[in-house]
Amino acid sequence: MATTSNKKRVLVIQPLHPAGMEMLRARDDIEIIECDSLDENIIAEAAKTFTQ
Amino acid sequence: MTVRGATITRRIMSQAPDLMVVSRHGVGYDAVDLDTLNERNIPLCIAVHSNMISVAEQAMALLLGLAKDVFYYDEVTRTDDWSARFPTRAVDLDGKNLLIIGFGRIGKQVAKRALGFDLKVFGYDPYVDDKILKAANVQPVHDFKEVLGEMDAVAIHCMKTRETTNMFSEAEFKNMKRDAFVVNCARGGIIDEDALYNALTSGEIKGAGLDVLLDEPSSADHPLFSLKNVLLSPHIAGVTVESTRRMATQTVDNVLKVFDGNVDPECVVNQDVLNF
Repeated sequence: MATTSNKKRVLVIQPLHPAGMEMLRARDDIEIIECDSLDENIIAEAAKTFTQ
Repeated sequence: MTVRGATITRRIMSQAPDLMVVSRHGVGYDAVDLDTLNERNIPLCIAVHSNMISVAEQAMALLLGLAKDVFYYDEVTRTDDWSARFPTRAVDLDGKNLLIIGFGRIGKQVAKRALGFDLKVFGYDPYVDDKILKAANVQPVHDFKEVLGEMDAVAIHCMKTRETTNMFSEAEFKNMKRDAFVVNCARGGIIDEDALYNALTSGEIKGAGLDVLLDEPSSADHPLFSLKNVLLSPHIAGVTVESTRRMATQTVDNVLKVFDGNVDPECVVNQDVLNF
């Protein structure tokens, strides 16, 4: 899905402690992409979002 | 991207041409393809300050557990076997000699705690200046094999490299005191597990505390698991309630600092890329 956002995207592979997520959410220049998987194919797919 | 246990391959990173930073949730980075990052001048950050205290405390817990034979006394108390209080098995750490292998961030924290227990602390790290050890009230050792026979305990806190793989094997255990303990909270494979099993069953050393094993996750039929003079934990030395929070916040902080252009070089594994 394409996006027009100019925000920097942070791919979070496997969940972080809420304190870390809160630091990311506190930044209005960041878009969070979460990927709760260890599978290379799934992570690679999620990594594509950097280019969308 | 932030990474916990996942393996980050060249293929994954090839999907992200604008990737600016990979930030590891922890201090180990063997699961990240560093060559790819170097080729693309992308920093690999680690949470350097997040778990050193937790690992040091676990090393002390294992050492104390072995010295005080905690699990033996727990078992005999629960089974109403008070006769097992004697002959005495527990020993004090006070005044004993501890050799710390690897005097990085964690080794320093272990030294601080061991000195608090009035252990005499020795340190072996060929990559750290003697001045740093002496400043921490630790006696530098330049050839660890020469002093093994005088040590009551050895705590391993070095990286696993070609140089340190099987660093403790048959010859080293034969040189140790028969009542010595060895604790490994670094990486499996620094201790040769077959040699350790033989040393523990033949009485060459008294006990071992292991947070790490060569093959992880381990299997229940591991020979070392059958020994009562081995204390184990499943590679969780660095994982506590507090360190989990610290790891997450530092992992994110490292990403934000790269975005903001004020990265802390101490947190970057491949510091050469910062010059580009």
